[in-house]
Amino acid sequence: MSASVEVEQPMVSVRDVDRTYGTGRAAVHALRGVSFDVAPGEMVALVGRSGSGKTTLLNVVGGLDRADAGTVRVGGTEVTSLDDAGLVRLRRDTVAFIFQTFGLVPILSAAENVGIPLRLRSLPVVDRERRVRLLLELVGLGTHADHRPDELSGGQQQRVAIARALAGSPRLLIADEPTGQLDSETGQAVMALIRAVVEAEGMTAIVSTHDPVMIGLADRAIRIVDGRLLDA
Amino acid sequence: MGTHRQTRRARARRPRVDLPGMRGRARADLWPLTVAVGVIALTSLLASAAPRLVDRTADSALRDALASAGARTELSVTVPLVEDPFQPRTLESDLATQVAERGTALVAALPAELTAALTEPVATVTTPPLPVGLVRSDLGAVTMTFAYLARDGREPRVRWLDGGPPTAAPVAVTRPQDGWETWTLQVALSSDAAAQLHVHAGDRLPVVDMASMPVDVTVSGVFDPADAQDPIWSQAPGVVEPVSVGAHVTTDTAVTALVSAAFLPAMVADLPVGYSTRSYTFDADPSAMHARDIDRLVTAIAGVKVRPEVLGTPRELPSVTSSLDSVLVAAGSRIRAGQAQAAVLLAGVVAAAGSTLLLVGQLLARRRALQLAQYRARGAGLAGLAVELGVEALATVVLGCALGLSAAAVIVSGPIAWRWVLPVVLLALVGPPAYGVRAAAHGSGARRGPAGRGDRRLAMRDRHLRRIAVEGAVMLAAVGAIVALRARGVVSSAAGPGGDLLIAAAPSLGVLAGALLLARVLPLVLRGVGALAARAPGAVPVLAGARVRAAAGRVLPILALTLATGLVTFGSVIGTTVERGQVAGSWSAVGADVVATVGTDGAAAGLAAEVAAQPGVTTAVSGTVADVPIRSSTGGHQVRLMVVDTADLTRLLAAVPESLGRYGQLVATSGSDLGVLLGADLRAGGDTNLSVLWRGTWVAVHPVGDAPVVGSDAADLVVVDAGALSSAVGVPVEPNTVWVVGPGARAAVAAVPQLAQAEVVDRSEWLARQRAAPLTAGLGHLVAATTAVLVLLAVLMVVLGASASTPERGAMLATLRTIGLGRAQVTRIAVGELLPPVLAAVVGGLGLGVLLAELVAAPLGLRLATGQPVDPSLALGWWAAVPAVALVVVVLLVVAAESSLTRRDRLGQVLRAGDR
Repeated sequence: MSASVEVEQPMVSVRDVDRTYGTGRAAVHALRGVSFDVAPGEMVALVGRSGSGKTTLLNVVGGLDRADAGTVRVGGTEVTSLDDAGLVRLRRDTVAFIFQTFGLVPILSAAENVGIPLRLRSLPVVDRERRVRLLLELVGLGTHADHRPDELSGGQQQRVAIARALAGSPRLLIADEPTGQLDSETGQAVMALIRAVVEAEGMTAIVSTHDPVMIGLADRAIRIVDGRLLDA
Repeated sequence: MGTHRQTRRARARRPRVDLPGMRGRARADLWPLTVAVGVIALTSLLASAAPRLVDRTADSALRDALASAGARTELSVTVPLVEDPFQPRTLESDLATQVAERGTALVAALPAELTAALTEPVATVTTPPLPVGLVRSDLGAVTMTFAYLARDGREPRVRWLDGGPPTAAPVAVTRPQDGWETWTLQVALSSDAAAQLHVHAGDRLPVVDMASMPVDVTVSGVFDPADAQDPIWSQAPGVVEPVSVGAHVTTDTAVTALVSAAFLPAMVADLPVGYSTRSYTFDADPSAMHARDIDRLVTAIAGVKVRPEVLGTPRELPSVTSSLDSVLVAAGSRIRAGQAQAAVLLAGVVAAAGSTLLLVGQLLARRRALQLAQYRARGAGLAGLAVELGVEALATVVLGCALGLSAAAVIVSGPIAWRWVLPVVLLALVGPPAYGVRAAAHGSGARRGPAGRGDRRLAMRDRHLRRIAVEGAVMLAAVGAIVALRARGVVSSAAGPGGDLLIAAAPSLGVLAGALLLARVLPLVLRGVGALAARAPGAVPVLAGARVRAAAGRVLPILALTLATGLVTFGSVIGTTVERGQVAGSWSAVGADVVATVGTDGAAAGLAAEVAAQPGVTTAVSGTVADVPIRSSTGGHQVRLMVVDTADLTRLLAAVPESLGRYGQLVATSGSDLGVLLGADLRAGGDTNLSVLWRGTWVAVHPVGDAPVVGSDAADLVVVDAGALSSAVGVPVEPNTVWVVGPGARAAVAAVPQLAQAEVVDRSEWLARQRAAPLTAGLGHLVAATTAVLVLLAVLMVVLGASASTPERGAMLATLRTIGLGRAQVTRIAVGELLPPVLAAVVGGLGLGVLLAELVAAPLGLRLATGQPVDPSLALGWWAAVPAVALVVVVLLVVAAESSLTRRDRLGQVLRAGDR
């Protein structure tokens, strides 16, 4: 489907990335020579067991962690050479995250959580409020705008997190086991929602998971074992 | 079998203690526990050492007061000589022995507490001053008093320069004028007296008695005291050195001649019955007096003054005079005020330390909440956890107390002031375990709420009512304590060392009550601010506002910080007020930068102009100061008369930078009825029919206003215009005093040769003495120490409060950074979260501290520390702002430290952990 685009200009390009934690005998090689591309608009499932290096890889791609060796390009920008300010810009303008633990600000309402990326872009108040309403409607929480996270169920919180991730219109969505804390039925609903919004917004997504159902929703799956990719 | 089951049940009921778990918790939370140990150690050190130092200072203050009081510390018992007026005069050859025996009996009859506190009495037998027919233009009229002096039956030691002690016994002679039998009298004169009278050993003195009959007096010898500092000489003024009385042309000279035991009977017999006075003078022994004995001593002195018959026999009914009780009462008031002021400061430290320990308890509970919930989930009982946390708290208290009390013992030994240490110990023992158990109960869901909405509402209302009841009780206690303090003052309410605990705690309770109100109002204010921040376009205001709203709901940190800053402000206001009050007091006590009083023959008339011409002098004014009798329709007494030119007085008062009270305008008048300014005591009498005796003439005066508050006798001051008084008495008034104002006053006075012999009172020296006085210096040190401790506690409170929310804040800020917030933005959010409550507490504390100082400054008796006759004006020093600046800096440092610590964390962990 996207093979020609992938060849011409991948949205994500990872080349020979190594990442080691610790030194000497205590050294843990989280990533070893990882290389892969993700085409624009593609939704990739990153599959592997716990401790296989999924989160490390997502962190390196999203600019939350730095690779020891190799290069990562996102939307044409070489993430591995960005300074702190560049990484902040990347996270603000290009990449959005969905956390396993939702990552919502507990003291803000659902609407305020969704509005944060828009505030970072200094969107006018009226436009911001309109977009927040729209996004909450999109994830089915239009009537829960004033609820705080602790007043919402796990699935609802993850929907708010998705709405927040979409708020800044990112080009790349990174989700680390987004259904890890949800029951099966809610997890499927959330995964379907991610799939839907990725398609609707035309964004690229990398989703780590080890749930076969979730893998089925992705365009393709990348398997990682002990820090190495089995197929890309 | 049954026994085995019972044992198992008992084991199951007994709380289980997990020692490895306890050790692990202690290791993990080492720094909060160290803070707790430090706070306990610091508080127990201060709470133990301060009362001991205050007691020691009180004894020093008492000795200082006794030393300053001079002769007013004496207790004099006058015992009449038993003589029969209807019998011919006879020589009582053993009179000296009788005098000594009577003295011994008197000592035995005195109350034991007085005997212990007074020195061996000096027995004196004196005659009235008798005219001496010597013509010396430089001495004026000369009078001579004969005095026998002995202590413990022994006469004072002298060194003979000419002649020696009497060698013969009194010889009876018949006086040719009236045929009365008299006895020859041999006396000794000091070298000074002999030189001034121009007499030598063997000379006869032309002395006459009160009936102008001659007394046969021969000088047996001329001496110098073997020890001129021996207090025995002070019992006969004029014996060592003649005393000049009066000024200039009206100078008289009084000389006292020493009579030996052998001639004492002749001295008494040569005068009519009742003219010789026998008295025994006890002086206070400062080394034997303690502040704690003041009340008993005052009672004992009052007892012998009111019932002197307990000291004598009906034939020898003594009379007792002493100002020692007044000196002791005044010193006792100052000491009690000092002790109460110290207690007020200590109560503040104890309250703030207790709050800090509760904050430590809260922090520990928050840090351990997850772990404690896991313990509960694994089957640990709340009782077992309570025991574990209690043991940990006990270890903390024991270690803290051991450190603090040992350090206190090294500084100053004495009993442990449990009244101050115990509240801190109790809070440290109960607070942290209680918070921990509550966290465990909440975390494990052991505390189940009612299922029904109505029941939940009722439960919530119950909690609300309980809270209102507790806070209402604190408010009532605060109001009651402040009202009691204002009504009674610290001087009258300080029962024993440390005084009344409720009174001492009044300012702390007041600040606590205000802090409670603030803590309740603040969330509403911050909610409003947060709502405003939410409308701002940026991310930082809304996030900081939300964090502030969340933080404002936690009452204890705001309460504790407001309490600490309020008490720091209170202490700084009190310290500054005392400091500035002492300066104002120095102007009031001295009246100028320098006051020079010239001798009896000195004329200060032209000297003011000469002094004024010196560099650094703003104003120099001359006038006369003298103690003169005043007569009113109700009686008379001595007052301090200040005679000064009206224009000069106006100039002098204008040059003094401090207020000398509200004084009237002295109007230069002429005629016999003079307008005068009167001191407070004279005004209080309300008598307008007044006359003062000036150089032998009674001059009628009428009050035209209030006298300025100048000098130690300001209440009995009469100020009159010099020209008007001169006109009234017909002779010019000779100035004897120069008042000088200006930075170069001291040097200016020193530069005028005519003032070389003048008695100079320097205001800066007075101020230095006042500040160095044991009580004021001690209070100053205690204010500084408690302020430093309170600032330190406030800093700890900020750190503890911030640390309690560090994990939540860290997680939130890390999450926000993944969304695209930069480090600077998250730093601003952290500052925006932590700073507003701190600023609110600081501002609230500042207001409460000033308000409380305003309410209780007068009842605290600060005038006793400033030396002012009136309460000092409240002053707010720049150092009241120190806590505000310090705490803002601490907040910034905390944020910087957190930022530095999280910089090392991998942001990616947030993806996995969610919250840390």
